[in-house]
Amino acid sequence: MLLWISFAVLTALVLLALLSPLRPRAKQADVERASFDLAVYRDQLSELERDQKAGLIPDTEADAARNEVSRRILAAQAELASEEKAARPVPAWLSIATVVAVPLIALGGYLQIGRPDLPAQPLQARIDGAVGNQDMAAMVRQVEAHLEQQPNDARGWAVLAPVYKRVGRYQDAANAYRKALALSGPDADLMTDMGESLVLANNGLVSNEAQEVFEAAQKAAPKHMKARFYVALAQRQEGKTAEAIAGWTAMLAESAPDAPWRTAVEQQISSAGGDVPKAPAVAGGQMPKGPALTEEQIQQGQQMNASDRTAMIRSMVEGLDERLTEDGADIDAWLRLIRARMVLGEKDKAADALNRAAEALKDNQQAVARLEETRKALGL
Amino acid sequence: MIPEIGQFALILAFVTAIYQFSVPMYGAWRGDGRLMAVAPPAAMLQFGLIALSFACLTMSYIVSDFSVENVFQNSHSDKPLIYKISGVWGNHEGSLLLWVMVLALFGSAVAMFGSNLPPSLKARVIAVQGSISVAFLSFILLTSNPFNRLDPAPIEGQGLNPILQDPALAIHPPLLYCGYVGLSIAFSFAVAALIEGKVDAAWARWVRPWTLAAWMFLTAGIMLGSWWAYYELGWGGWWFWDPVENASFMPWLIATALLHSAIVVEKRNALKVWTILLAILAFSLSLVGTFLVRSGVLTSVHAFAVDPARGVYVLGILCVFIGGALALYAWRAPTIKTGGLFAPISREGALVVNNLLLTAACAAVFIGTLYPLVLESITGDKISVGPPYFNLTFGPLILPLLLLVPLGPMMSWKRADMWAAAQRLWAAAVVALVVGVAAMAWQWRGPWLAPFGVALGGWLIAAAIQEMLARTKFLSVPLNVAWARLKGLPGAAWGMMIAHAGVGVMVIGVVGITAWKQEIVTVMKPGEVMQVGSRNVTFLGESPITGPNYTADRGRFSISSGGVEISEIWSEKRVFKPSNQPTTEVGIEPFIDGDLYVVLGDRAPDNARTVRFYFHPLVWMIWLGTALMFLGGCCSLFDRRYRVGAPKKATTPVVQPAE
Repeated sequence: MLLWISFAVLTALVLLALLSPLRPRAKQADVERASFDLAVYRDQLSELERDQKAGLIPDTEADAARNEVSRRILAAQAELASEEKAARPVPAWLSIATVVAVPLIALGGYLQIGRPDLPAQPLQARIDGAVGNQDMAAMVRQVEAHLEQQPNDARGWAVLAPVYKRVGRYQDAANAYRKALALSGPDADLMTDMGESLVLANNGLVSNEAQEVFEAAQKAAPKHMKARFYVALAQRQEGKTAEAIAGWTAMLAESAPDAPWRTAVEQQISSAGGDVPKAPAVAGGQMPKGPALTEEQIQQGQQMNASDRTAMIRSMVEGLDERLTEDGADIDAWLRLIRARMVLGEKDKAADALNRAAEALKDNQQAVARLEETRKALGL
Repeated sequence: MIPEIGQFALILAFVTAIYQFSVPMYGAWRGDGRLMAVAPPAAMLQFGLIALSFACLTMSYIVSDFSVENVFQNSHSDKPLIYKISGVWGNHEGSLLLWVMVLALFGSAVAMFGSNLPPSLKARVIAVQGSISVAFLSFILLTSNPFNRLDPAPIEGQGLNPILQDPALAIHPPLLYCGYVGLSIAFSFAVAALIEGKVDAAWARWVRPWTLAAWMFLTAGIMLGSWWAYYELGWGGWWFWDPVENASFMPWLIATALLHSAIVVEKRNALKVWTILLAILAFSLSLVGTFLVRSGVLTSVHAFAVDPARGVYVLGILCVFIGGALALYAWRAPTIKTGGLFAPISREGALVVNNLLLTAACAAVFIGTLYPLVLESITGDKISVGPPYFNLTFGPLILPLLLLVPLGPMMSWKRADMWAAAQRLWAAAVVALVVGVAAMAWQWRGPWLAPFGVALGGWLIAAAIQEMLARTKFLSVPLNVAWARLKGLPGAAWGMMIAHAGVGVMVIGVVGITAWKQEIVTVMKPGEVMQVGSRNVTFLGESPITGPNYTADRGRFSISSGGVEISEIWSEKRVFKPSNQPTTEVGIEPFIDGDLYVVLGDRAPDNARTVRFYFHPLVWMIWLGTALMFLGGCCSLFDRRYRVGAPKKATTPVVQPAE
């Protein structure tokens, strides 16, 4: 709304500036043009005088030049006498056309190329409002900034890594997993995800490094399905097809009939030339319709999306909470924390934060008033 | 909201420009004072709107609003604030916005200070300015909109080309544009005069200061660009006859000619038709320069817009304005009355020679710049026209001009005695001879032509000083009288002397760097010493550096002379985020006899580095010379005779011919 009001004000100002000289009583420049020439010629005469004194022009030439200028002065004066003064009324159609055309062209043009629906998105505001707006990209930035300050936050890296993976920054994802692993110690899930990121960064090829990571993961958790899947894939890419097929077949035997990875594994087996074992019937007589690997990944991604997002929000909210416990002077930060708690559905913690904020800011009248407003608005 | 306001203001500016063009033009044709009075407020309003739009774009850059495509493509949140701001015009769309903003600024300056212009001339000048605005604003809105939005917005920008992240280049484009676009005033005056069919006395009074201002900006802009190329690109040169450089040099040459011919129109009411042609040509070459750089027909550092659709549009604008103006000239110029008479040997005659040589020199540059492009577009052959061509064509044209520069001011108006003028310069000739001999003694091994060049520079400087002494009648009158005369000299006289001396200083600098440059390329390990000129340079070693948006290896060097350490300099190889583009920072230590210039090269085995050393004798004189030319322009601009008042209304003129 404010945008349209600004447009209207701008347009009104433009019309005012363009039309005001057309008012019937507006001052108009009606000095005869010959008098402008006269002003210059008189000045030229005095300049000639100066030049002559400075010896820039010989006396005889100066006289000739003076005659030249004087002749021009006479001509200008004659012209001045003959100039006619004509004050004509401004044609009415001009004002009307202006009033109609200016807003029409401006608005029409704007609607063609403008984006009135799109607010400005300054970076700092985006990062500050990341949690409230569920702005993934901005959240990533915020976590990155946090990790630049505190690179030893294992949970931060673990939260960031899957997000990188989903937006296609596979190498960054692998690096983030690596850091999380270094800080939190071996963990089969993290290791497998790191390996998977490396594979994706490498266009589907299992590098030596990735293979080592998968094997370590399998050693740590022998039943880890994803790790086993990739170990077999690595074997197949090495040319050990039989071992790969054996690995996958064993995987299928241990999987539930409706396991989401079943189709992917079956495809791998058949493309490697192995026999796909019959899946046991699912209770209810329905055949499992597992998606292909890529689709499965997408689906997984979407599932992760929600959970990652919550994880990320939570990690950031906790960080904010800690910061405010140490230094609670920033009212805006408190309000952000309170709103974020509400977004996460943690009403108790929001109320708690509100009380702590009121305690920390009790000397600041304005802040207390704003906190009260928030308390009312959120019904705490 | 801010980007959208900028967008809307830009569209309103376009609508205003249409109004600014059509209504005053119609009013001047009808002789209607009220319609003509529309011009000044429209011009000022247009500037206000474009400035608002520009401010909105700048704001989006400062706050890193990556929902604006232009910001996303050319900025990065890690950039220092000054380069966030300079990033606004470090790209195609933003620089065009700056271009039209400067155009509107000049238009509103005519509106504000033009009270001493006849109303119909003023209305037409502003209308012609408006028509240029219409063309370029429509170009921006249709093909190069800086306010295109992205949804969803990326979280980080792609960054500005690192070699453009430099203080000199932050102000180089605005200055250059003030120069280019300032010439539009001379153009608008010329076209308005052609439409009127008469050149008013006030016409020349106006054209000259505006051309002078544009010329000064152009001088400063070209110098900064050249200085930037000198210290940033690390090629160890200052002028490369690169098409982009030529694009700004051609309007400069014509503006210089125009500057001088406008003196004749102003003082003597002669050469009017020729001056109008020069005014048209000067701005036409600015447009050609804009076309060359903006259309991407050249592929060089500056050509960041490689888009044929845009090129065709600019070419269209070019044809309409240049073709239209020249057609109008062909049609109307014969009706313009010619003015004062003069003998061939006179100050006027000397200025005509100046004009002819400058125009011919410009033609040589024009052919050298455009011929390869035309040839390539017709036959597909790629040829490159380099310094040898320009030395052979531009050189022989500019040398006689430089030789003749001191003669002009010694001649009187209307009719002069060449021999007497030459005789008055004997002292300067002696100085030139002495300087030449001294140069030969200093660099006796050097090319034999170089001392002549230095002598030429000395001739120009000495003659300028001598002219000043002659004007104050120094030594022939008591000192205090001479001092009083010196103080009483008009600003234009000071301007001419300083600018002409500046040309001399620059000539010496150019000769120095061209004839006596030293270049050494070597591989050095830390601790090794290399002799460069008369000094020894020690490679101290290298260390890694982290800047705000780059990482670098910094090589440090210490300079010593006669066993005494003088100073320490460094040169860096930088790698910029996020593009990983490498750049080189040159190390320069200025001495009175020239610059010691060090470029850190690639790594070599055994911890060694390739290092390039240059010694650039007297290069500072190039910058000093151009700065003097600029200063001369300032002096001349503040001359009192440009303060002719506006005529009072309803004064009965008294017939008062010659006193």
